[in-house]
Amino acid sequence: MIQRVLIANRGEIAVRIIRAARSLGISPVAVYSEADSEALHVRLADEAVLLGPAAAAESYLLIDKLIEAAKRTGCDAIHPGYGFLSERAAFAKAVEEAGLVWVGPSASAIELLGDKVASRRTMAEAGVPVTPGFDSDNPSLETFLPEAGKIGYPLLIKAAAGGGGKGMRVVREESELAEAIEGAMREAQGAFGDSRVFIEKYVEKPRHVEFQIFADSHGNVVHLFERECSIQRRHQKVIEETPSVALTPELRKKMGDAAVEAARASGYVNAGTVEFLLDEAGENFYFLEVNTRIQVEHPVTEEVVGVDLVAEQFRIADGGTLPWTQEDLRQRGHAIQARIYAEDPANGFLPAAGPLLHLEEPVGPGIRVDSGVQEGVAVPVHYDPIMAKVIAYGPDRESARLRLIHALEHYVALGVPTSAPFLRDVLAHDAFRDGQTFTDFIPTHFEGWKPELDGIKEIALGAATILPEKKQAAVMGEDGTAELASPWSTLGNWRIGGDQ
Amino acid sequence: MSRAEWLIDGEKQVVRGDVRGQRLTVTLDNLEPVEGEFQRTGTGQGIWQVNGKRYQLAAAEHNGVVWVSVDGRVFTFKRATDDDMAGGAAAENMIAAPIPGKVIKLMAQVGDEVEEGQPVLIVEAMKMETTLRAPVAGRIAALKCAEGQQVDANVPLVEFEEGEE
Repeated sequence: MIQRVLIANRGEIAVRIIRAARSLGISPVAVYSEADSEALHVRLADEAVLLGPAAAAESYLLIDKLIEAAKRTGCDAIHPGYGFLSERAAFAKAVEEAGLVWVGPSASAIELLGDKVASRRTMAEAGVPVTPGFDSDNPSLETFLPEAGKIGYPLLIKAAAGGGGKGMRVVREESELAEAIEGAMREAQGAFGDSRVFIEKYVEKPRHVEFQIFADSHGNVVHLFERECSIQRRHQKVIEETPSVALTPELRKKMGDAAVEAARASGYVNAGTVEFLLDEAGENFYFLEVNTRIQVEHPVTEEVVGVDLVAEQFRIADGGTLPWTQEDLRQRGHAIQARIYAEDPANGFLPAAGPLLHLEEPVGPGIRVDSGVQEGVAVPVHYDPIMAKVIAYGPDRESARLRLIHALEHYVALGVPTSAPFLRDVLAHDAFRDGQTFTDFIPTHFEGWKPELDGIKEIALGAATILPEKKQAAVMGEDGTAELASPWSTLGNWRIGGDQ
Repeated sequence: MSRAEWLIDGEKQVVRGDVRGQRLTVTLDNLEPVEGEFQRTGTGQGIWQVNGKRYQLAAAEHNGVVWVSVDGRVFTFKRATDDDMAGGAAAENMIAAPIPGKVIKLMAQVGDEVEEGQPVLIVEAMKMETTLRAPVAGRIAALKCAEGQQVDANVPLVEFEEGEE
């Protein structure tokens, strides 16, 4: 059994994994960069190892340092979380070669599925429906131009190594193709170190419906039903829910079977997600990709199916057998998650960073907050700006929705703009209430959104005039990240372990 | 009695707040005073009941900017300084990065005429590309950055001469 795990990540997912490890009696070891020395995941772990400077390329992305840290701290396993190295086959391989347990799918499955081009081919062969598209081993404008004409516009350009909307572009007409390919290749190169892109038919007004899959190393594969993640900005999900209002029991079974088939075709073990697009009519679905890691939106599945997916990842990585057959699994009630990002929704969702001067998180029946931040610690500029996820569970969709709206009114963060006020308005919109959730939801209903501040500006100005109290002096870090002189930082270098 | 000066839409706004017993009265320039029962509930926090409605308030200050939440709706107010009053309008004629990042592409040169909203440069921050556009129609007067350069937030990168319209 795994005794001690190194968590090669930061933020809310590192905190989530620490909690799952604790529930199994596994000792969690954190890693951190210089920008994260006071971060929540560092505080909650049994031991923490400094990797290097703030830039991810000099800290969280250093495979050798991570493995060395795991060995030095007596770990027998590594959990990669999501993002960073989680979908790098080279990391999975290096972990296994170092004699450590990799909490995730095999390096070969990651390699196959991480390459969107190779996975499309595999799925098509296995009979999983894919969108019409074109890929080339040598992509360039010259190779794409004639093929794009054949597929027809609008088109979607995607990064072969992609994920999270990076390196993705919608092209509505031929005149936009050149600039879009150039931009997508550059962004893909920057984000993944791999500039290859491919094109496929852009399915208009689809829903994003994905299936959670789980497989053990003894040949058992199940799905844990769907998550609908149609509410997206910049191709990134911001609200996720399960069940999806768009699935009939028949369609759910058909898509679930396809997801299990996708897992089998790729020799998958551990937790994964098979993503599909469902067309506007709710009739045809197309394979998008498999995410070979735990997902940001996994909590809604946990709430509705009644499982701990991260704890299960540890058991399966340890050689365990799946604790459920497909027949054991049921959906009960409804769950909706809102991702709280440090960003300015009134200004093109620009990522933001800054000191978290004040933080209140909601509580109450059916409310779960998976958070990676805390008051008095800056949100650094260097990483994905996710701060927390607020999840509401209810016996039905409407009660979950109303609980989440109320919870977001009580998510108060000062010092850095967040998506919370925007997401509350999204949830309160009639089209969301009525389940009219398609991936164009935000541009359709919320273009140019501004917070509704009329009538309370005088109240706010009054509060600004009398409330702020002289807190301890704030200081700015060298890299421009603001850091607060919080009571925590006055404790000095209290890190346990590490190489300081 | 507290008194503060805020920079609102380029204008200075003086606000006075007076807490007496459990009543808070706020007076803004040229407006009727706002008053109601008030209770502090924590550091930088309070509940204020105005015209029968209770508002949950929280406020905190950083670098001359005060952040306020009213029932989860967030405002930022900048304290007015003499500098703001002197050169407030100049900011319209330049582009600055909203957060620190790297300039990955420049799409215009000094002397180019650009339309309002035309893409001028792309900055990458937090692994996302952000296109920065001309705030006004006009001619590019100066480029203060180069491709590949790391830039700080709110530092002018491109300056414009406004076109005649």
